[in-house]
Amino acid sequence: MSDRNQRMAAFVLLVAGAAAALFELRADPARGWTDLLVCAFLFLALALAGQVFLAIHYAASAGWWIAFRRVPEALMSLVPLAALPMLAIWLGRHALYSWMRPGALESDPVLKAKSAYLNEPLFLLRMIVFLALWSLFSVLLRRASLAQDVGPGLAQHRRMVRLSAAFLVLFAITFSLASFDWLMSLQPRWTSTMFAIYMFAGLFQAGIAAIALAVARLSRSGLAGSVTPKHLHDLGKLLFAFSIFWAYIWVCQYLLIWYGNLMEEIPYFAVRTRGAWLPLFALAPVLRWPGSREWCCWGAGSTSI
Amino acid sequence: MSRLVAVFSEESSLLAAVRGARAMPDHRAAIVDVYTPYAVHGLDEAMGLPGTRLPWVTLAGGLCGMAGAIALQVWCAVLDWPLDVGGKPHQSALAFLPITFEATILLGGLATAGAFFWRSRLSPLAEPRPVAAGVTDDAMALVLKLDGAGPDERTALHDLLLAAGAREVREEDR
Repeated sequence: MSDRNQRMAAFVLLVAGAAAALFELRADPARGWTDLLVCAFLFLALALAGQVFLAIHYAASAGWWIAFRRVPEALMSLVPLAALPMLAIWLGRHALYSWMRPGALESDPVLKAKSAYLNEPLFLLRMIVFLALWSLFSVLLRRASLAQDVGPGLAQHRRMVRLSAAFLVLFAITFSLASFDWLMSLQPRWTSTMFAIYMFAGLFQAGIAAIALAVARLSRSGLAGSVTPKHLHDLGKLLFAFSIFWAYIWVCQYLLIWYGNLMEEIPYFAVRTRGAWLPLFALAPVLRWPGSREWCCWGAGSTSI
Repeated sequence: MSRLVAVFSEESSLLAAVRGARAMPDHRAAIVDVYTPYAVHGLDEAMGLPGTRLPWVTLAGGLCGMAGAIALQVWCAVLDWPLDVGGKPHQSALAFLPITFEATILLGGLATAGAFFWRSRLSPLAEPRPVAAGVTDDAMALVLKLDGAGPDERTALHDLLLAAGAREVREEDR
């Protein structure tokens, strides 16, 4: 496909997606907002994964990835745009979050105890601050990278290293809180101290998979020559390592909740290991852990990742 | 066994000599080994080394660790002395996962390291026998097999190695 056709296809898909979302929100608001939250979070997380990938490599002064630096950078450039659907979730807050419904916080002593953190104004404030911070760093990092193309020298590189280090610290805190706010509070009485790192593990693994797919495809056209099989091997190893990391974190969360069998924790898995949820629940480890590298190879039409 | 040792200071000279020796038409200049103080990129490809079989040792070690850990836990907590933990079934495979995981990694890692040391004949007690002075510091040595090579072939090999940039070429019997 030519560049123009690809842009056109992307635009058509964008319009189709927006139309489908609007239709669903009219037809069934509860279902519609849930789907929108899942999509908004997924794409925001993928974009953020590019930003984290880039920041980690700058902060660590890594050199091996420079040949495909623009791939995570392209993912990162999506952050300010991907923040918009996430911001739109605020409009559907009453359909999504049971604790935001009138009287919910007052009538439940557990939620009342959490209300110093879990309340509507602070939820909105945190959402705006997190999305604005991530977007700001995305724009600054992108701008420094483009400035480096024009003016050689180490000034922009040093700027990127400083920005990346600051971003990583802020991201660790803000993303943890964001995962509490946007996803964990869907079940407001449930808590898991593993949840933030579990979300990060998913974000980073999916991000590496997306980068590996794009690099494998581009290595046969645009990046041919600069990306070698060694790059693809290293991306594959990174993906493998973070698939293990994801599985490790997943088991850590599941094992402790299953072992403890406490009333406050067990409902989360009790719902997910029964009925219609069970096949999806069983599928997640298969797709994410032993299969991730193979899916990626299949998707890239290659055996070399 | 009679062999030819060529010592190099530059990676590029070493790589050129390795490629040249492999491209020798009539004499099969078999490479015994190449000794370098650090990993030289592209050397494996230039030497035409086949892929490593070390991962199979890792797999075997890992499987042994996994089987051993499962057997130990099942025997301890299910067969010999059934343990009741929080009313859960004695055979709760999930609870055995952490130890199984760690034992798999441990035995896989130890087997890999052991097999590597064994195959490369390294051990803390081994007497160091450097093929040339400086191969653990700043020199790289290419060792070629000379058995069955005639005088003309020896001269040709000498010329090739010196032309590639060897700083020292010598024959030795051992």
